Amino acid sequence: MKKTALSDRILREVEKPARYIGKEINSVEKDPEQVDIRFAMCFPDVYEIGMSHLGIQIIYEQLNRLPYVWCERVYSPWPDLHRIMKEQRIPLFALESQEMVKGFDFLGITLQYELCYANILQILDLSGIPLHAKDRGEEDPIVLGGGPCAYNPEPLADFFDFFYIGESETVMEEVVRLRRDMKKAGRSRAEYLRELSHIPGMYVPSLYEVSYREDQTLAAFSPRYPDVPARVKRQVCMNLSEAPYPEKPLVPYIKVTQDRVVLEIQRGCIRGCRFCQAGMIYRPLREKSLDTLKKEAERMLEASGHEEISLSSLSSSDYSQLPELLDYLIKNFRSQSINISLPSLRIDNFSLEVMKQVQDVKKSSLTFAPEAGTQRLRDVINKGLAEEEILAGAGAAFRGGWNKVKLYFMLGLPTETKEDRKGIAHLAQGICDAYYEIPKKDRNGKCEITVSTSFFVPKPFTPFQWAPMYREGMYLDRAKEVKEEIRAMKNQKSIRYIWHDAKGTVLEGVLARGDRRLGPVIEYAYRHGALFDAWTDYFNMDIWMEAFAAAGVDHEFYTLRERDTEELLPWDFIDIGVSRRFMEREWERAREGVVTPNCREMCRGCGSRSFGGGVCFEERDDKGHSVNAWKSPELSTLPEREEDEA
Amino acid sequence: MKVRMKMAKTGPIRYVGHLDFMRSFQKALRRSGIRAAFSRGFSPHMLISFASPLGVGLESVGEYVDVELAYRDPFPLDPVEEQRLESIGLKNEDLPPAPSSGELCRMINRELPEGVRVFSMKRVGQMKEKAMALVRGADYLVFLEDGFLAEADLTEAVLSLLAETSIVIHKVTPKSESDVDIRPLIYDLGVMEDGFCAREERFLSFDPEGFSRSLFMSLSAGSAANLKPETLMAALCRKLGKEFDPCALRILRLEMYAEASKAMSELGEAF
Ligand code: SF4
Repeated sequence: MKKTALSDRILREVEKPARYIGKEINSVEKDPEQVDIRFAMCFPDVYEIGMSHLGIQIIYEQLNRLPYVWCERVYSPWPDLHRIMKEQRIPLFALESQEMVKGFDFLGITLQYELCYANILQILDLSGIPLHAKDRGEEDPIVLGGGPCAYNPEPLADFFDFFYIGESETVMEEVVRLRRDMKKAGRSRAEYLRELSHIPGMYVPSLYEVSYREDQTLAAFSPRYPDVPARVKRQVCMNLSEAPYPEKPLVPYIKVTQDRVVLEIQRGCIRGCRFCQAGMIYRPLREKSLDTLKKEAERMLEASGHEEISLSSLSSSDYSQLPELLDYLIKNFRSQSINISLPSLRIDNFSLEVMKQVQDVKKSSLTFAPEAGTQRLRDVINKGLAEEEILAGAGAAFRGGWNKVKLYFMLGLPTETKEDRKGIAHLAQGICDAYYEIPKKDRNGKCEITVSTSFFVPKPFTPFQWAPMYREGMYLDRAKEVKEEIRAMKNQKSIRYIWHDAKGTVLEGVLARGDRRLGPVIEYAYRHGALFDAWTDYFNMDIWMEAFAAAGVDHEFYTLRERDTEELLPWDFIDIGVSRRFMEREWERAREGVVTPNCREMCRGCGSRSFGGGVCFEERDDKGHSVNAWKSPELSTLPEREEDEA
Repeated sequence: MKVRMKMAKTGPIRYVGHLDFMRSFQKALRRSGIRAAFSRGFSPHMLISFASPLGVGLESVGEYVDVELAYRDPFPLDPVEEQRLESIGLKNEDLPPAPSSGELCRMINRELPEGVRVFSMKRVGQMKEKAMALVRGADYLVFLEDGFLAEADLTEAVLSLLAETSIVIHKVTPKSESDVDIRPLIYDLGVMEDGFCAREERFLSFDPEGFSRSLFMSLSAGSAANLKPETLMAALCRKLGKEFDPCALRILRLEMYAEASKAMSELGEAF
């Protein structure tokens, strides 16, 4: 039995020691002597969060299929262990081998949210890897980043050797193979990175030069050498049905956020909500075939022993064969006592009928995400969810026995006014009304409406990438307005209001649309104690304010101003496939309050057709509608409900 | 058919707490292909019960868990049992016959995490009490980190502790505070010579490196009166006038006993 990297004594001292012992079911062990490349894949947050991430499991599967690579996992040590490791100078280790990360060939870090940037420096620091890419030697791992925040990698440019722009299923193997070949040939780190920059989608920040204008905006961004591409194109996997998938999912010992089989049914989204980065950077929508999904569901349940399976996608209702898929899942797995969880379904007669079969109506709640309180603002953000639809959905649900509804909104959206904020309360009241319209004898007690708001943060590669943000206090004022209006409603006792903390919002906004000048800020903040900023209990904005001051950076430059569409943006060198012209047009239409149809209603020529597949190539009728524009089937075509009464 | 399994939990998995371990065990059962019985309703669960939760960091070669399997019980069931089975949608006659206990052990052991092993499985079909309700005592080996209580004469301390007619400890829980006399809960306590039970060794990957001294303890256990080995160690430290360091211990549970000092494994029938 392999020794744990941490001594018995330390494991007894720290909270949840099982985070650090590895050996989970289906984790991969290889003989280090038999592999050429050691790859550490890191999610820079606590184990329970990191283990729930599907992307890492895909990369883990994909890399470990290569006989010459051993891919292992790394997560952020919790603050209690962080302190011990710093004090006792214990180097950070990978879970499988329990060996030092510093000895690896690659350290890959997934960038899922901006508030984990300090944790990235923690990973480097505890590993004993120089924080700055330029200070790393031949023996240090090559540090790469990928994931949604890599679409504006600039604030992290100092700390990474390269960024992988796109999906791992495309050129990851090439990246690793090149390293192996060049290592064998005795070539240097710098030579490797230069060569790597020729692989499409690979961005090596040290090979580019940046200059700024007097007004602080970007003046120019260009490669230092002629052989280095000026634009980096996102790499997209066009055949998801054949792509590697974790057929033997890792099964953690301790309860993690996603303690179930996750079945990714499609990637991308047809909807085009203007605030949503995922809706743009994963275009076009690509579905997995029904056969693939059936096979994967079966294999993953069998290999993991999980008692639950959940569908994963940005908008599951848009999967063109959803009725067939759900029918299959219910018929095959309910009898094996497996729970089926269906997040991100639109609430309509079809989904309600399905949900009735898989969950306890009395205990479960229904979720709507109108995102904005009035139709006007919903049109601005292109959230194609009309008030009538919400009320009809809620009414149908109430008649079906549900009495709990959750509503999600954002505050701080472009063009938002007082009316829009008050509209949130009014919509909640409207739903209450729909409930109390039902005859008393058919109701199930009181209705419980939970209204939850978060603060909108403009993200790169969205039509709102030019939008201004606000100061922290203004966010809280907005939440207060909503709260007061809710308290003034007739059924206010049935409405609960929860709002997200505004504390991290401003920092998230700065980092999301920042540039290279933020590197020293992040470093200062980490060195002065910033860690686990995504955790309200640990987040301390004072450290960051101090860091901005120390680095001489005006953080409001990044948040308060409305950017001009003429301005060169730090992430403009990345080509995600969706054209800048499309974004500009959408920004324009947003301000005019004009809705843009979704990809299946009408192709708006965003540019993603260039990837050569997905929704862009679905068959269309003479009106331009895709034949897969899926409508709720008649209830009679639904699978029969099996008697399941205890 | 209800079965009782005896198993070991050793190695790094000792850092997985009881609830998480239970979940892992159930997932292993699902993977193994053994047919477990489930409750009905929207979130069905296995009918499973552990004899006694094992604290985080403790190892054991004497864990017991009762599991209801969806195999035919070879003996006729009484009407109450039959009704209960019916309520979860099962009928004894319609269930497939059980594979041998040896085969079931092999099936589950293929799926259990490193350090966890099922040694034996017995049919406990007609027994109404759950394993949890049966436990009365447990044996432990407590290993001391070298350096901890290094100068102390352990044998002497043990003898004088046992000579006392009452050993009162102050027990503080989040809900209450009380004085408890633990003397009656100690059945046996002694310093081990040369370490280790040869009987159990083959099951263990226990590596006592850095822990050259150990104590044997036989203590009251179960829901009525449970004495943790750590509590007794604390009392021993107090006797020695030394500070107690819970992180300097490695504890191995050897066996659990039911009434009349019968090892739990002696209850039930082979199949
Ligand atoms: S090219 Fe048309 S169909 Fe394809 S993603 Fe863009 S808008 Fe949608």
